[in-house]
Amino acid sequence: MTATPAAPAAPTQSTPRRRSTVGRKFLHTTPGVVGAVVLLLMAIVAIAAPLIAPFDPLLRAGSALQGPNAQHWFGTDELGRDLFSRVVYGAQLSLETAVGAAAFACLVGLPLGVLSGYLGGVVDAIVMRITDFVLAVPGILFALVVVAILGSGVLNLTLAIGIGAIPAFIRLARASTLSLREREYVLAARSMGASRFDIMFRTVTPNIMGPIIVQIIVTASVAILVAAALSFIGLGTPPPAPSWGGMLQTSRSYLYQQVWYAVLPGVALAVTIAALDGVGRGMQTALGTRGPGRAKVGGMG
Amino acid sequence: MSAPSLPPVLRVSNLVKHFPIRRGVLGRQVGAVHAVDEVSFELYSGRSLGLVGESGSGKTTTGRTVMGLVQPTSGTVELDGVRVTGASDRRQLARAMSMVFQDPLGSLNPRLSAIANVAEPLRVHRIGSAAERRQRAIDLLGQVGLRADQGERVPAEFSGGQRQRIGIARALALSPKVMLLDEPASALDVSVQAQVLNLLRDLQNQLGVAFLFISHDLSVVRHLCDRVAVMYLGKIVEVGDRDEVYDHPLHPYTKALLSAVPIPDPDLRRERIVLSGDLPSPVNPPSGCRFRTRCAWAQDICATQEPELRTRTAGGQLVACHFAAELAGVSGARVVRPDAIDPIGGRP
Amino acid sequence: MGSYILRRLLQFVPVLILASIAVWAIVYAVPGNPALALVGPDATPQTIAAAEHRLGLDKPVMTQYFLWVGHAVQLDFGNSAINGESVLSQLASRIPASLQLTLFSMLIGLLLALPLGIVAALKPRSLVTKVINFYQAAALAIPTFWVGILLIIGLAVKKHMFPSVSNYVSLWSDPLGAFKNTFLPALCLGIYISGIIARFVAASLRDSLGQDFIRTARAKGVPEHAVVSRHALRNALLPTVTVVGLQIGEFLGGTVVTEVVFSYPGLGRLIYTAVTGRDYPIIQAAVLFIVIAFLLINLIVDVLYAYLDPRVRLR
Repeated sequence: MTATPAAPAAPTQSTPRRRSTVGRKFLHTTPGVVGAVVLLLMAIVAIAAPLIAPFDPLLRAGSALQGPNAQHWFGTDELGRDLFSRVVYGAQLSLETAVGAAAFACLVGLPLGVLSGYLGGVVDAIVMRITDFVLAVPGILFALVVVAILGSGVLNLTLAIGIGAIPAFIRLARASTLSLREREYVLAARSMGASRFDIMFRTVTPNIMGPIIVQIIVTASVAILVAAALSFIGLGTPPPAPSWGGMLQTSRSYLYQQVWYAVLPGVALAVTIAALDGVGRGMQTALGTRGPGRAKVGGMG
Repeated sequence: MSAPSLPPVLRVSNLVKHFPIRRGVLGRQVGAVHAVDEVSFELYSGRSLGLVGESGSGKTTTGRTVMGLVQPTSGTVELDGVRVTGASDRRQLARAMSMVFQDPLGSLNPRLSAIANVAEPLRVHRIGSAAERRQRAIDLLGQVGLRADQGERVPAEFSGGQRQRIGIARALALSPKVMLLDEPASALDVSVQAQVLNLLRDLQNQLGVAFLFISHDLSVVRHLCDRVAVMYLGKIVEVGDRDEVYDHPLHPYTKALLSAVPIPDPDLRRERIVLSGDLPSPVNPPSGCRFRTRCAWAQDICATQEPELRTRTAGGQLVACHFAAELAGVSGARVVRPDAIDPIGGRP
Repeated sequence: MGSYILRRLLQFVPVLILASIAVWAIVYAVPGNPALALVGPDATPQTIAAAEHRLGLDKPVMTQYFLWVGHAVQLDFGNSAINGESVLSQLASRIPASLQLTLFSMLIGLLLALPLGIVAALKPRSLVTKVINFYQAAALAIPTFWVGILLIIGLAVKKHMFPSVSNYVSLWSDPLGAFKNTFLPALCLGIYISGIIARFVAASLRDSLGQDFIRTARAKGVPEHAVVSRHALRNALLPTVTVVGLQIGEFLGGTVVTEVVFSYPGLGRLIYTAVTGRDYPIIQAAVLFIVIAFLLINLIVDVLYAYLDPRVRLR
């Protein structure tokens, strides 16, 4: 509903470059490189969790609430489970949710935005009003209410966050499509007799992918935050699953005994989110687009 | 007139395009831009018709309406005798009529290689296999003077002239009968312009495609076209064979345009016909003859009766002016209205 | 200007209607009898019947919707399913607390962000700016609730400077108490928001400084500090104010988790309690309030912006 210039500017068409130039530019950005490295490590950890985690995250492995020591690098939690293993599996959970939510939001939001931008008229009006409504509810709250209705669980959580992230994609795709619609090569495609569908999805869409990719990364970052926040207040992934947010919640009761319990999952969260943010900023610089601010995607504690 | 005896490949009759102007929250129509008013002309196979006029004359809109990119308010366009206006099936039309655009860089898909850009029309119409399309694209690029190994590059990596060639190759992909060229040389450097124009002429001779050539540049049109139509404020004011129009312009507007064309002869002294006033708004065109507000020879009848486009002299070209015959000898003479303002600059 | 406002209002209405439908439909989306959702599991049969009557379950769906709208317009949202008290009164009691938290957070955010943003814009490639950029990235990446926990560990548990459970103390009645109670949650949120604002301030100021009128000012001999403060900053402040305004809208319900961490009695925590307790009347009313407030705030910000920057109106 709003289009104040202060807020994210309408994204420009991603200027096409050979992919090698984009890659090279990306590698010159500090946030990009650092973020990518960290993210890669996180991804490896998440995927190879069974190989990396020394203990089963769900089973008791020693006495409760130990501090970090040689056997348990992060210590143990209140049930004696190895904290390091739980954090490692937590990475798996977080990244699953992040990728799931971002992919879902993109798959739904991108086509809707392109349709809305290209066809205009009634389609546009309806899509925009629905978008305005969803955006009127802060991200966390929206996910909260959806989870309240659907029930908790990883899938519902991912869905809830994903739905809340759809409007950002719609807006982005729509704005990009609007700016491309009058370009001469779109006109040329029309003059060739291409169908509207063809133009929308084979001519316009590939040319807007730059900002979309940035948006995917930003969405993933916000998804991790929101998932953790919801798990923290007990509405996300239910125990005994090792969610970082859930761990932080439980840790509150044991601040005196095992302070690292409250610190380490938080560090994991912050590092992963920061890594995604970094990659996002690096991509923005490399593609030369001014992407949306995180504010618009509604991520907050 | 040296028109061939075959019927025209493209016939435009009484084409009208008015764009509504909407105001207010509800979008009420409060007026219209009379972009194209009762434009008629014929285009013959293998020949070129130049449509000239200044910005705002309606020539681009005419071209786009003929192409079917814009729906006409009224009037018909016939391709080989078959009505094509209002046809929802742009696809069919696209196979017979293609377009080359003014901005070579903007009109090519920046993400696709040159070969892919040229093959796009084939892909859209699902002609041939991928390999066949690719080969045809390479052949077409060869016809416009680009090598196959250059074909993998994206438009950003080519020069302006090369990009325009790619655009031309793409326009030829479906073997069209008519090609609309909307200011194809305007964005190019002068030296490159000549190359592109010569290429177009060669292609026309080889392939027999009819060109509808839109331009504001009279010398370019002279180089390439067999016939010329002059447009002013949405109307055709003069049309005829190129040499006739250039050597013996009949309409005051044409005379003024031609007097401004630079002639590379420093000793030649010409008198310029100066147009007074500004181009009237197409929302409210002047009554009667639209050119009368700037015409040095306007009389009362010019305000009340719109002149028809018809043959008035022995020369054979069509002109829309009440006094074409009387002014036939007046070319280069300077008669200025007392309140003349010269928009081009120079002597009053 | 008038037509711009009219246009915005016209856009506002359909969204409002959509929102009202979505909110109303919440009780129907829940499995089971919607009336049960309204009154909770411990209700007597009479209460359930009353709820069914209120919902108009025997009537066609459209009528049910309008019944609800009718009640809503009169600010009658029924009673809480958990404790039976009026939804409206509960909602109303939380609003001042949320407002206080929001404003305090914004204040802290601005106090942090303005100097950081200005410095970052003035010295783009210095070490200081790199540090500031790092701070920005951290502020956005570190979850606010975690910061909250850390602050509680550091300042409340170990040092007893601030209460670890915050209460709402009205600013008017007890300023120091209000400050002590609100400071920690506001600091968490303020740090987060300073990340956003600082980036905005830096970018806007950088843009502003690159403009021609700044060059003119310098050429006229205006001293540098005046160039920055009187000329460039004023232009940069407009987008910043807009962002702050929009963020206030986000804050109304988005602070859920921070409020939970500190047990701060704001709107967010109300919704949280309602969700865990399946108290749908409160959820409905609160979400409706938040949506309307958000839309109104956006509308006001847009109109204000259009008033201050005429270019926007012509779009």
